[in-house]
Amino acid sequence: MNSRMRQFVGYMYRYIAPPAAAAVRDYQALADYLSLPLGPLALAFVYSRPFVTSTIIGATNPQQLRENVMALNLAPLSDDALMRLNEIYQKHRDPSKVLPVVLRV
Amino acid sequence: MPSTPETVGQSELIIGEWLKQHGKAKRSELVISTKICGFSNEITWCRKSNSDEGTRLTSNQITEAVNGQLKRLGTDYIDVLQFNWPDRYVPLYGAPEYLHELERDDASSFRSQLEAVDSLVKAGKVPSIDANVLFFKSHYTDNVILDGQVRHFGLSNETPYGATSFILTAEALGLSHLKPVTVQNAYNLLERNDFESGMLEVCSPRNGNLGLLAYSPLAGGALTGKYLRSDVSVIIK
Repeated sequence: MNSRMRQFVGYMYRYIAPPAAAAVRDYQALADYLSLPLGPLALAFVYSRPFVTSTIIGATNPQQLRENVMALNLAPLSDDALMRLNEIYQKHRDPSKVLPVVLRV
Repeated sequence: MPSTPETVGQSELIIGEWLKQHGKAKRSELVISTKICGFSNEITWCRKSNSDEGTRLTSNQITEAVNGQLKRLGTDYIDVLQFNWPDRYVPLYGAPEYLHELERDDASSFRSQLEAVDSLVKAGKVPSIDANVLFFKSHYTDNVILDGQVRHFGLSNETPYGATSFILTAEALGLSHLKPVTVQNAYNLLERNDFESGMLEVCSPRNGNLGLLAYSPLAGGALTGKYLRSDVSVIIK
């Protein structure tokens, strides 16, 4: 996988550390339940927030770009989807706050 | 991202190339927003005038940074100029604690940063015939002609304290046209609490009326689920 997290070890570690991974697993399960890919669902959630004017997306290949655009077509998310997203948020309130770790490379 | 000496300024060059080929005629239809580095002792490659003082949001460095961007973009104005992160200490990029000992006495004041941006905006203020103009600030802002190298000002990686300080300082200095219009902070399913517990109130239309430009909406890709399916231990061994 040619991703930044592989190229730059430690970069954005907080998003893949165990607390974050546990949250992502729950969001993935919800995406599966809704028959949606997780990426577009996660983006569609951000777009659904009234205070969000725009997002900074990144894409290093056309497939990623397609998934980013797909999120725009998922709007509006159903009340059921939003409620279930909030339930997971209550359980995983701040999962990307981790104490710095020393990474052995 | 992350910033390296090899890639610094590349985005602007790429966009500048596109602008050159596809029409400066389109320029007025586009909103081009850029960011300039905040305080850093590590990033020494983004500005030349930082050899003694490090990378800072001082008047000289702000001006130098914007001039560099205009040159690389090949345009004569930026729609929204953002500070990539503050000059003063704030916990950044998911740092879990606020550490008082990291506060710095020599941080650039909110006032000096606003005045530096104002010199780039070079706003020409048109007097209103409305006798009450001084008492209705929104009226006054509507009459300001934004004609300089920068049209609007935005923040990034900011806190409720910082955003509110910029808003109130701009008002106190009679620089209402420089109240920030946007905040670019991280916002995603793994990182909602930070924004919603404080900054959301600052951004509310009744208060600061700021738009959130959400960065890392996919948490660096983690919210595609791809790292659940791969061997993460390879990354963090």
